[in-house]
Amino acid sequence: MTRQLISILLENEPGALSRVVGLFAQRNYNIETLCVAPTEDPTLSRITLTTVADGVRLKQIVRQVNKLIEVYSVKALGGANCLERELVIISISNASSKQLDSVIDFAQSLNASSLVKSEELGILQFVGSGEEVDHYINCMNAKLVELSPDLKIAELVRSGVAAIELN
Amino acid sequence: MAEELSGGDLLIRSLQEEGVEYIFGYPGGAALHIYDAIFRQQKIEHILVRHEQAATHMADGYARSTGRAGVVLVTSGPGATNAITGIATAYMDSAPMVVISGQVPSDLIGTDAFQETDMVGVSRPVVKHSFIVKTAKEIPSIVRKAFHIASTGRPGPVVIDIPKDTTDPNVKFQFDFPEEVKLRSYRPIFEGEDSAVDRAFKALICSTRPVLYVGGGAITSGCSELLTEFASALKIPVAATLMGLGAFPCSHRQSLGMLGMHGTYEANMAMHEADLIISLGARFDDRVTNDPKKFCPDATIVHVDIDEASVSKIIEADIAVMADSSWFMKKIETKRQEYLSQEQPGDREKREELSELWWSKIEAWREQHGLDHNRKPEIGKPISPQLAIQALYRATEGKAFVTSDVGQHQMFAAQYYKFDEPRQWINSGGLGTMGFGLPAAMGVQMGHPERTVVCVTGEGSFMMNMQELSTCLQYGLPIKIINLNNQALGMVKQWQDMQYGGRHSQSTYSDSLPDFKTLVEAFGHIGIKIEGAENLESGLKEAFSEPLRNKLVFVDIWVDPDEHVYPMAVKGGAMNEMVLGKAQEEASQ
Ligand SMILES: Cc1ncc(C[n+]2csc(CCOP(=O)(O)OP(=O)(O)O)c2C)c(N)n1
Ligand SMILES: [Mg+2]
Repeated sequence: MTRQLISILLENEPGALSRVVGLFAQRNYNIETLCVAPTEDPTLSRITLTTVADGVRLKQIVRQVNKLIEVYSVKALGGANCLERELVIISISNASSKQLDSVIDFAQSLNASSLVKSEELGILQFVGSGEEVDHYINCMNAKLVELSPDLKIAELVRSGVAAIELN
Repeated sequence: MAEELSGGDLLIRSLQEEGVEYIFGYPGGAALHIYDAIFRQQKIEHILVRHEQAATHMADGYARSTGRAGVVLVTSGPGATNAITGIATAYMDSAPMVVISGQVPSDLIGTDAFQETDMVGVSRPVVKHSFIVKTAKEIPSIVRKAFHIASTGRPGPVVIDIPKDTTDPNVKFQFDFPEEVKLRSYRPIFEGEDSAVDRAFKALICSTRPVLYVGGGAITSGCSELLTEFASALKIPVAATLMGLGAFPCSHRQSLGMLGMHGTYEANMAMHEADLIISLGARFDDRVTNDPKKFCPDATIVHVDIDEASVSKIIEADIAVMADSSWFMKKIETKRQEYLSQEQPGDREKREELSELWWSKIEAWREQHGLDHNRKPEIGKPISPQLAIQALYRATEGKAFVTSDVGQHQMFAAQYYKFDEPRQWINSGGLGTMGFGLPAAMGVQMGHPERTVVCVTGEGSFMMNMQELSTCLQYGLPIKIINLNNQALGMVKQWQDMQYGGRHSQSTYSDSLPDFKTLVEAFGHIGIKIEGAENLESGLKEAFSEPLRNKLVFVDIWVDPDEHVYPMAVKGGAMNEMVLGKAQEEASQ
């Protein structure tokens, strides 16, 4: 069972998204991440979602999604044929100003950027592939523990993966 | 200039444009503007049912027997939710249907208003598609799209939810019925790839033990004639699913009858030993394959289906043909003609020799356990339900439309009535909805006023929609209802006999059944009760006699309550593993 990326173009109409999401629930497919917004053509929306499935199941999922009347096209995107990006925002509270400085320094060394820094709160943003985001979160957790056993990520918000085809 | 019409009139005019003959429905607050529009026209007849579930089954029976979408109209809330079972039934069996539901006014949606249900949400998992009307103006184009979607590709039910304000008699728009349907995201396939047909034909010519496995899709596609011609020419045995009966004439020598859980011995054995299976519009349902891991070990699988998601869903196809079955049959028949013109001397003899070998095996299976095995009427004994269906077959000369409910009686009907025509056999195969039979028969009768329409039912199923006897009187529907009365939820009881040590938990009624003869008489119809094997033939003769031709006749046949349906697939086994009769069953316990 591997993580699979599926990219769906569908009519930008009320209810269309719920049919896609409903189909996943109904057919016992899982959704790990989901990202939806209109495209360059405002009458179409793009859903990028990730799921866990083997090849046979992935084929079924794609075909079932394709059957939905409002789905314009659907494609499984894999490895080299696409570029994927996910955004994660984390906040850190209850850190001293000095601790926060070193957290931010460390995050920036990982190519994250600092969005907010006040006395009691730091907010950081990171963009990368899903895997890179996972890695970044692990590193941040480790760094916080290293600074103080009481420090941890207060809140973590991930956008879900968006992906674009390369060819 | 086109005339100006209110939403209700736009809807009815659009339905007229679609050629709708009947609306099966039931009124209520949110649908009253529409009902008023119905009152003010003559072209479409509205059939007033007694329960919305029945309306959906009627539309379904109409659709399956005519091939045209059935139309249902219900009000919001309970009217809509009552329709759900019938929508799900049509969905599972791919029947074309358009269901129009009234909805509370747009400004009340989401407020838990009186009789508000999110119909689009509730029905979503069991529809092919659904629409909610935003303004009356879009009603004609939505109706056009709904019929198009319901009837093309793999057919199915489509819901149109209409908020009451959009049918306001005072708000009018120009009536403009679109000629063309514009749906850029809906592109049902029809034609497949020639190369796949090529490979399928080559596989067929090389095979020595081929079987054609036909399902409901073959009937929908209208390929029966081509199929019969092709299969006959190459002497290929044909097994049908519960939904596919009639696609190939059951009385044809090459018909193996039904396959699957209660399929014939020869059909299941032939499937299991086949080296090639060509599946036409069937979906390898679990009631057919039994354990998919043990399914047809030696067979190359050719899977033809218009729904690409059905192909390789359960069993991986070796040759996948995403196409309409009639397209496939046309193509493969052409291949056969080409092949004949190039045949080398001796080829044909060789092929026929191999075919003989395969057929001798099949004949041996038939001999060993044909369906008619050991069945003779015994005077003084309870009526055997199997013999009752055979007698029904004779009484109707095999020409009736037969609908059924769900249970043992359904399996007996499927096994023993030899359906020679597509669409002649109509039952709830996918969802297995008790209560389907009578209303479905009513829809069939509406679509075919001149034909004999029979509903084979069980007393349990019949009581799930018997209120429609009243509707039958109102519209003069001369349906013949054959009630195989075993005084039990027979199929449940059978499973309890086989798997629960005979503990009949909640499957009998302890003498509380009504006297059906009196009951149907109270509804204004004719009731006949038949007890004892010696009265079967004469009782049925009377039911189908000329004087009763225009009457609804309910024939209450008291059958042997201890009878089981055989063959029965062994749980978790391969297709060749079957319990063939009581003796075998008892020995294994
Ligand atoms: C609506 C519904 N509820 C429950 C079932 C489960 N079920 C399947 S067959 C059956 C018994 C049917 O009894 P009857 O109609 O008398 O037919 P018989 O099996 O006795 O011929 C039941 C309860 C069903 N198929 N549909
Ligand atoms: Mg019964």
